[in-house]
Amino acid sequence: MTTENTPAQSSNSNLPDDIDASEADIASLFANQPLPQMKELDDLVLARASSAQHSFQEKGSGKAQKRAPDGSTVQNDNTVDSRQSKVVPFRQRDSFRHVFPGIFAAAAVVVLAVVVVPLIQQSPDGFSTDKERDGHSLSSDAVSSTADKASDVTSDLDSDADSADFAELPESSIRGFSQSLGADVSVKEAVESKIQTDSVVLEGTQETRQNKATTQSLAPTPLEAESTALMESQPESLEFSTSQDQTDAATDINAKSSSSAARTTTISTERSIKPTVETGINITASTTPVFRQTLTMWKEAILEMVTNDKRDEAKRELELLLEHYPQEAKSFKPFAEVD
Amino acid sequence: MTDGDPDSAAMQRYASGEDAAFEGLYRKYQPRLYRYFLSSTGSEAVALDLYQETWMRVIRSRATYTPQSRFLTWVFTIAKNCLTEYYRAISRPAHVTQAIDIEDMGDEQHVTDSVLSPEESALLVQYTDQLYTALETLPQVQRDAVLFRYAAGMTISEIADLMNEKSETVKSRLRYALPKLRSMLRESLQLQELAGEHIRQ
Repeated sequence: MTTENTPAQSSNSNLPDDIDASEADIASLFANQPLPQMKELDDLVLARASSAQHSFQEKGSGKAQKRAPDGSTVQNDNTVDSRQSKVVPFRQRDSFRHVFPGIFAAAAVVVLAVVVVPLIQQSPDGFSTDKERDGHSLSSDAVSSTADKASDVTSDLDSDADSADFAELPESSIRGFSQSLGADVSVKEAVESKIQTDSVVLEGTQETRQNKATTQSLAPTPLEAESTALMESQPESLEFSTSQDQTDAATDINAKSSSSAARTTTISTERSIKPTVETGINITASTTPVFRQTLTMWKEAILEMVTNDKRDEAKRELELLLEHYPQEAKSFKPFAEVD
Repeated sequence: MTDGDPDSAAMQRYASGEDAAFEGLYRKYQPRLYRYFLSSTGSEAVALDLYQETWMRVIRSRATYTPQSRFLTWVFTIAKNCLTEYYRAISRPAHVTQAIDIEDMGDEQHVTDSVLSPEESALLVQYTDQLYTALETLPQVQRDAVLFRYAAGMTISEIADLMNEKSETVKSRLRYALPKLRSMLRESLQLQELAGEHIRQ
């Protein structure tokens, strides 16, 4: 800057405000620069200027202002006048636009209060109120009640199996009984395995399946009857040497059962899952009639024989019963009960 | 400050919705703005881009325009900002590498005050290119003063207003710049003189 001002300071006044002849040569160099053909660009700029102006007026964005000669701005009311009463006056539209954020804010608060806050306050168990929780507890109680009933039924079945009766039998008497039947193993073990097998069915791994199996086991199913019949009619084919053989045989029996296919499949599968007869135990199950497997069944069978006037047969069975259950069957008087 | 400035009044009318007022301003400032950009960048394409961008900014700024200064000062402030942004984007003046191509000039139809033959047009482009090179050698403040003075056609006071300097400072810059330009553009000036004589004949 210093170099600019010192040497030429005196001659600055010689340069006029406007370009004079002393600058004409340089100025002409610039002025002679050719202008390109800019008609398209001119049209583009002018069209943009016009469209921007019109869209600006259409929107009534509040920026259309009329400037007074003194430079101050006054509100341009042209947009109002041109539209008369068909549109909201500019100032009113402007005011209305200010109202909108308030409306949206109020709506947002309501939504937050009604929807979001309860969701946030909802407890981890998924219930926002005690009432809802109680309602759900009722249904849970119903479910647990059903489960309890199923459990009770299972217990009843266990007691029906009279496993306790067999457990209390002397080993010698059972073995004697089994020997009389030609069995290679003790009847007690066989009966216990049968009971455990039934228990496996009743104690299914899943609660729903347990309930289903329990319901099926409450009443003798056609499967059971058919299985029993098969066991009695085909004794040789039912000799088990291993648990796998037993499982296969049971599957075979079930496969032969044409009726109640679905239920057969269910029970046979569950029996196959947990075989209770240990490997190496040879059971000749066919030599032991089903009714002799439990004390209760044996008693009922004897009573049925008496009722059906098969007294000789009933007498033999009673003797056998007393032989194997001397204590338990001592008070059993089938002939007296029937008569 | 702007009392009596017809251009400011025209801009106010345009802001009020008078399209014709803008067209008048556009026609008036068209060559000045274009030559300012052309002289600054040395590229016709870049000059056209910056020229268009300047007018777009003028249109967008119509609502906020306040006649605190002359319209010329306002519009060239916008132009200068566009040019600064352009230089910033390319990090160096464009005309160093983008001098006007003579062949391109021949392909396009240019509007000039006179009708030149192809040879004369080529000569004109040649010394115009020399003008860009000469401007390149000037310090930035002197170059700006020269561009505003001769390309944009501003008065000393307008340049001072635009550059926020005193008029004497602007004059001083011009006084230093002119001899340099003349010495560098001797050939171009001679060509121009010859071309002028040819046109006058």
